[in-house]
This record gives sequence, structure tokens and C-alpha cells, in this order.
Amino acid sequence: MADNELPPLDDEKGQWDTEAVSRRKVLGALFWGVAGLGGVATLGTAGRFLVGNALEPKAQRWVELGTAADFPTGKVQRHVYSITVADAWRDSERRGVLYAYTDDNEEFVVLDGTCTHLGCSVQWQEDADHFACPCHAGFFTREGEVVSGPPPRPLQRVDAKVENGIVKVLV
Amino acid sequence: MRKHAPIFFLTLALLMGLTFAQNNVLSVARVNATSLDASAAIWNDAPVLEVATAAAVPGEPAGPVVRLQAVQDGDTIAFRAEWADATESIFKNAWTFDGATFAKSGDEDRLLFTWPIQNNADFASRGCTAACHSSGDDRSTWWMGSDNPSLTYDAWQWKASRTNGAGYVDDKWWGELRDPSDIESSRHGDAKESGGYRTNANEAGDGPAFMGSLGADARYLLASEAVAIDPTLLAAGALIPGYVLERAVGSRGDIDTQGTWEDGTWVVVMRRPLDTGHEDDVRFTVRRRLPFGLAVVDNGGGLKHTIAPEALILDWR
Amino acid sequence: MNRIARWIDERTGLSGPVRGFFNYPVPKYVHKNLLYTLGGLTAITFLLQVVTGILLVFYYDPSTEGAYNSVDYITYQVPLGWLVRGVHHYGSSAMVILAALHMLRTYFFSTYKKPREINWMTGVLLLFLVLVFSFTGYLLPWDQKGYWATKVGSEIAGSVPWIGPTLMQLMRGGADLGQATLSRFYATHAMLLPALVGILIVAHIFQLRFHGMAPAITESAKRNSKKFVPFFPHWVVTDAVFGLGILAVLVYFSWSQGAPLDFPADPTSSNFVPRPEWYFLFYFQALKYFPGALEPVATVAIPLFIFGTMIALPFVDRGEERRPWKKPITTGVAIAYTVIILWLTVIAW
Repeated sequence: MADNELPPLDDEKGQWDTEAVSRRKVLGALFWGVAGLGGVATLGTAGRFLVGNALEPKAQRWVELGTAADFPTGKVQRHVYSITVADAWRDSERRGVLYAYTDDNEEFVVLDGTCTHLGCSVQWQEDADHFACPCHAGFFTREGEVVSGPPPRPLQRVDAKVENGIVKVLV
Repeated sequence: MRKHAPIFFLTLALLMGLTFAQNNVLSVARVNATSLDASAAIWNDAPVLEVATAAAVPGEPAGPVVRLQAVQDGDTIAFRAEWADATESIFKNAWTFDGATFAKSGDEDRLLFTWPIQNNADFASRGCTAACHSSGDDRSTWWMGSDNPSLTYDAWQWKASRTNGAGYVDDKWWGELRDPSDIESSRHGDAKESGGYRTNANEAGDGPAFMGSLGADARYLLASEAVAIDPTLLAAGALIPGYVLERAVGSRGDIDTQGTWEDGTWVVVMRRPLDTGHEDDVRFTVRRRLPFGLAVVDNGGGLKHTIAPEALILDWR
Repeated sequence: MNRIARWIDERTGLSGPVRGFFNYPVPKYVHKNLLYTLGGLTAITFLLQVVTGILLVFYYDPSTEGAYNSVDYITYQVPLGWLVRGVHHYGSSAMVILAALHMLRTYFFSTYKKPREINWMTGVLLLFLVLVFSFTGYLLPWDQKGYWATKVGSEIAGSVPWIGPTLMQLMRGGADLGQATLSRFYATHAMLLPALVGILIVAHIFQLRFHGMAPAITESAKRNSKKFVPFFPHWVVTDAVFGLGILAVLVYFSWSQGAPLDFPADPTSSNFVPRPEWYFLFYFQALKYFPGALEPVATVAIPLFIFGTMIALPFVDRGEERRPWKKPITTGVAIAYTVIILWLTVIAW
């Protein structure tokens, strides 16, 4: 733009200041430099501001699920956990659904009830002995392996341990 | 994968079918005027929701199927419930006279509705279960209510013995468990100015204090007809109701009812203004869907109830 | 009155451009063809969305604790709240329908060709932004529908190879759906998108005026191409009449159906089956056919391909021919797209 010929002015109006105009290139470069700097600084700040704390990993915590001896063996049991977590500027309740399964009340398979396809909630169907996702008909075994349907991965296993007879899970 | 597509569709259709087959929506029909008359024409076209009640505790026998209907006229809403019950139980803690002394016995049938007063995600998903706190095996520790001070429930208790005779439903509310050592501390009666039922017992507690002026075999003992007990007027085998009934005045008594038992069936109609203006009552707004819970008690106390296992939904036509 | 107008004009210089805008000569062949009203109607509907949207902001509480209650309050307790929210709700469907029809009209008349490529591209971008508008707006009541649609929607972003998980967290403002998500969607829906779409609409209309209407393609239209009517009031009145008709339809739907409000969001409910708004159903349905490792094909590749081909269209189809019946390939492609989308929508319904 700065290289363009300036349009002639009407005589009535006056003349271009030729001395000042001779500095056009320098001033033009200066303008783009300053504007560029301001722009980059603004956009950079805006970008970092918008990303915010979004990429922080999910806070994890051990949650008690119940007394190990009380779990029925050979049956999948639905559990709802509820913990208070920091949610941006407020503390909010985070709740989720887990499915626990045990053969011997010592080793526990605990699965997150979120379908690995697109995040819908799976349902345990006792009669059919599988988890079913109602959104796109994905099916999983009681161990969480995909039987059929679109899910790309098995259901997520949740770390579980038994401490002093209490089953604890990392959510 | 292509060749599995038909299987997907089939299972999907099945799943959808299952979802829709679990019908839990009660549609309120619009009528010109609601009525307490269970045989009024307004009920002819009102949609029916059949609720199969199940035991609240696994392994116990299921309860009756309750046939529910609802109508509204812009000011009031009325519910009609019909369920099979082989026996009419309306003599709770009633006194039987053997010619010399009184013996106390009996319980009553009940119909219970639960409505979340505020928006309540948990109740909408799980129904009454959301308000039921039964963590251990010890039933004496179980309680109904809310674990959040800002969530309350409107609890309607239609009582065959204690309120039906006076034409109202015992209107209560549930809140937080104020005193963890007292499982009753989450349940409250709605505010009332006067009235309500009273235990019909003498100071010693070994007999009734009142009897009906209209005859010894009255099914209900209304306060307006109650006179001091006079055993000399009673024949052996006389049955005196265990409670003196009077309609509660105020929010506690703002639900009208008319319930009759005939040939093994209870038919109960309840009616209330859509908006009572009371804080301890749920507000019905036409078009605003509401989740609710239902329970039936067959001749027993609260723990003996059979419940709608899922959240029921009140919708509007 | 005249003196006041002159006083203002001397100080603002506005009368020339304003008069130019309103006296713009509209060719008779355009004026006679109602298909040309689609763009104006989309703009009118957008204005309706802006007005009702501003009204809703007066009551809406963008917090996870208050959002549902405030929308519930708007819908059932604010006088005419049902109407304002209803028109806004059904208006979003009207936007999608009108923008899509407007685009089809442009496509079949081949008016994306030189020198109108940029105008076509701003149009494609606008359609995309309309979809982002409805996706972000869907969450705001913080009810079951919105919550689960957003959960699924952000998982779709999460299935992008390599950057998916990061993208998903950026979208949600954290690892889970929560306050940060709601704030993001609200800011995008109520601040960022209106500004962007407003600017693009101005650019879109400026481009249209700069190039003028594309020449007529049918013989009968050509006979009418040397006669003009002024934009105001001849053209505007048609738009206004149809715009009022659209408003009437939106009011009717608000009155007869009401704006839907599901029960409050419950992350633990497993009996709720998430379903997107009807105009995303075809996509939701398409996802079923791509199991396992093929998932990104459906979630990323296909949408990118569709938008890519739309953007690339004016650079691929560069011939002089503009009559749809003489261009079997482009016509066939558009019909195929439309049929597939409609068919998938019908299956998913």
C-alpha cells in the first residue's frame, strides 16, 4: 500500500508535504512493526487466556466403593460415586457411574460406565450378560471388551484396590 | 462390518423399543371442571398410566398395579387412582370392646405421591430412590428426605383411616435430616392453622376417649360427631376408630380427596389447586413436566410400601 | 423534518450511501423469482435470533447451578417468556433450513462462479457458523438433552487423530463437562458468534452489491434482465411479508409445542439416550456405520471433506455453463447429497 503513488490533491485543497512524504517507507515499516507487535501480543494473550486451565489433567482421587466382603460374587453391580472437585472457580459435585464385578471378593474389575465410542452411558443388562450402549448399539462383555458395534476401545478400567477390607477406586 | 448393519439396526430397534415400552408418562388431560367424583365423565378420555409397584427391598413381594389418571381445568388438578386390594383397611389403632375392656389393633391402606418442589436432577433420573437413604441393612436407620438443604419434596399421604374420612390428604414435606440420630427429622407436616387428626385414647392409653354420637359402628369418628366415651352404650364387639378426624386447615389440608373401597378395589380421587401459593407445596405449571414418585401401602406402616420403581413423569396434553 | 434530515446529512454524510442502498436497482427477473428471497429471509431470521437472544440474556444465568433454573423461570414464569424462548428455539431450526435452501438456490443457479467465489465462501462459512451457533446454544439450558449432546459432541472432537484429546479439553475448558464448558459455550454463543456472523453478513451483502446479481440463466429471465425495480420498497416488501410469515410460524410452534426443556442435567443417569437436534440427526446416524478404528473417518474426515468440497467448488467448477440441466455432474452431486442427508435423517428420526 505504501508503495502506491499518492493521488494528486486538488489545487484548492493544497499540496502533499513532499519532505514528509519522502519518509513514507520508514513510517510505513514502523507502522506495520508496531501494529504487528501489538497484534501478536494481543492475540497471544487472548489465546493463552482462552486456553486457560483447560488442559490440566483430570484430578484423580481414591474413593471408597464399599466393603469388599459385601460385593455379590459373579454379579455386575452399578455404583454411583460423588466427589467434590474444583470446577473452574467453584467447587462442584462430580458424579459418575461405575460397574464393579468380582469373582472372589479379592480381585475387582471396575469399569467406567462411559461408552468409549462417543461418551453415552452404557447400561448393564443382566439377562443378556453384556453392557449395551443405547446411542449406537455398542456392546461390551462384563470385563468391558467390545462385543460388537462401533466402540473403538474396551470400556475404561478404573484402578481398584482393597485396603483394610474396603474397595477403593481411583476416579 | 457392512454385513452386520442389519444386526445393528435390529438391536437398536429393540433397544429403542424397550426404552419406549417402559412407559412412565402420565398425561394430564384438560377438562372444563375437575371433580372429586370418580365416576364423572371427565375420566372417560383421560389417558391412563398403569404403574406396577414393586417391593422397595429386593426379594419381597410386589404390590398392586395402580391405574393413574389426571385432569386439570386451569385452576385445579385432579388425580384418579385405582388399585386392587382384597381388604379395606380403615381401622388403624382401632379399639375393640369385649364388654369390659378395649384392645387396640389394626392398620390402614395408604397411597403416597412424592413431588420434588425444586428442579432436582437426581429425582428426575431415579424417582423416589433419590430421596430414599437406605445404605445399610438396618431398616430402622432408613430415612426419606434430602441431603441438600435447598432441595425439598412435597409428600402427599392419602390415609384410608386417618384422613380419607375427613375428605383431605395428609400433605407433608421432606427436607434435610436435621438431626442425624432421628430419622423422622427430615419429614414435616405442612403448615396448618388448625384441625388434623388426633389419637383417640384416654389418658391411661388403655381405651378410647371418644365415640361417635351417631352410632357405635361408625367407620370414621369425626370431631364434629365425637362425644365422650360411654362404655355402657357399647355392645361387646363394638369397634371404635383409633383417631378423631378433622380436616386440617392450611397448607396441610389443601388437597381434597374422596376414596372408596368396593369389591376389592380402592378408587381414590385427589384434587388440589395447581398453585397453592404455599412454600411447602409443589407448584404445577401447565406444560411444565414434573417427575414424581408413587407408593402404595397395604394395611401397614411406611416401610411396608411398594413403589413405582422408576421416576414417573407428569406431562400435559 | 427535511431540515433536520439535511442537518444530519451535512454532519454525517450518510444520505448518499443510505439512498444508494435503498435505491439499488434490482433486476426484474430477480424480483419475479421468489427463490431470491431466501437470503433476505435468512438475514431477517438472524435478526429475530439477535433480538430474542438479547432478551433471553436479561434473565439467563450462565452457571451450572443457575442455568437450568433460570431457563425454567424464563419458560414458565416470565410473562411471554415461553414466546421469546420459543421463537429463539424454533428460530434456530428456521435459520438452518433457510440458510440451506439459500445455499441450494445459489448452487443450482451456479452463482458461485467467477467473480463471486469469495461470496460463496463467506456463505459456506456462515452456514458453518449457524451450525456452531445451534450446537453451542443447545447446551445453555443445562438440561439432559444439552448436557449429553455436548458430551457426545465433544467426544467427536476427541476422536480426531493426534490432537483430539487436546481439542476436546479445549472445547470443554477442562477434562470434564462443567462450569468452564458452560461459560465457553455461552461466551461463544452470545458474544463471539453474533459479532462474527454480523461482520460476515455485512461482507456477504457488500459482495453481492459489488458484483450485482448474477446474470439470468433462463430465456424468460433474460428477457427481463434490462428492467429494474428499486430495492426499497419493491424488493424489501416481499422480504418483509415473508419474514412476517416466518415469525408467525415460529410463534405458532412456540404456542402449540412450547420450547422443550428436559429435566436438569444428570451425569449419572444411564437411562437417558442422547439425541442431537433434528438437523444433526443425519450425522448422528452416519456415525453408526463406522465402528472402531474407522471412527475418525466419520467424525472428522467426512465433515472435513464435505466442507472442503463446498469451499473448493468454485475453483473446480469453472466452466461458463450455469444452467443446472446442462450440468449433470454438479446437479447430480447436489441431489445425491440432499437425498443422503434426508434419508439418514429419516432413519434416525
